[in-house]
Amino acid sequence: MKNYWWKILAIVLVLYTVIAGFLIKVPAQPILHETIRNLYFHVPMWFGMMTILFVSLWHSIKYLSNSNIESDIVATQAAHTGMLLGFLGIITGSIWAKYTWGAWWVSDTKLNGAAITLLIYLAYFVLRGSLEEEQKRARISAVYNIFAYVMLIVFLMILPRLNDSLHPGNGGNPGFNKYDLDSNMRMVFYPAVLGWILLGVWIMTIKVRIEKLKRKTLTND
Amino acid sequence: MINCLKKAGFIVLLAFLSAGSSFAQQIEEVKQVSTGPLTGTESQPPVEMATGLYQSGKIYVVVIVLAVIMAGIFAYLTMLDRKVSRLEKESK
Repeated sequence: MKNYWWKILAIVLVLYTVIAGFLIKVPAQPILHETIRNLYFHVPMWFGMMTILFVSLWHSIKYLSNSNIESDIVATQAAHTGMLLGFLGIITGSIWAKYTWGAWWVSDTKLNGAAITLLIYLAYFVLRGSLEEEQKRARISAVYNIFAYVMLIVFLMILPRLNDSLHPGNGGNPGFNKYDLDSNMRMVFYPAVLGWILLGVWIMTIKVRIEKLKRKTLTND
Repeated sequence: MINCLKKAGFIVLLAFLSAGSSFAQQIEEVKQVSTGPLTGTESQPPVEMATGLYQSGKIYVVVIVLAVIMAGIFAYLTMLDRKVSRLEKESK
């Protein structure tokens, strides 16, 4: 119970948001209609991605200071899990955009920023795949990972706020607080964010453990 | 021959009646809609929400389906977690 309470919490929170997210009353907004409920599912993907990619960054910095290959394993697997959530976020966002903004993809600062961010992280895996030697690969990709997270902050947090964006809370648009996140929605949205972050961390830890086992059996052979 | 004519006339009459009644139904429906709770003011059209879906109760089916899918994924994750734990113990 000591070690896995947060896994149970993740299950409870995400199940709660799936059920309450459909049943709790939401404000009636033109254009959005019931799709406003996507906030409970689409946005937590990005919160989850950013948190897990931060874990990846943290372990990359750790690797640069201690040269422990386990930190490199955590950094890589966290980046993998972050990409999973990121791609889910961009696909769900595209579907949502089709039925509210009218197109699968619009030239919006945040959309393009998200796409560039995903490409930057894909390049991280390309870089890793192109280096044979373990220590070298770990060191160079750790440095690149720091650069990648800085770019993520620029493309997802800074540029959308400086330019006009269709996303709420960016550019000339009012933020969630005034516009469409009422107290009812908060009751689902915050647990959803926490639940998906925990779920992402859980998936990441499983991947890390598998990778460590793989390494152990390879070195034993 | 006369019988035939009678039959044809009867059918035509029925058709008219049914058409008339369905027309009346339509009018009633329009009335219901216009006096329904969803009507907004003249300047602001009502925002369409899934009220009807809730009335029919079928949204719960979707909720249950999603809950089952998520429960399945969680069960799978838990199994994976245990499998890895077992492997970790074995390799020690």
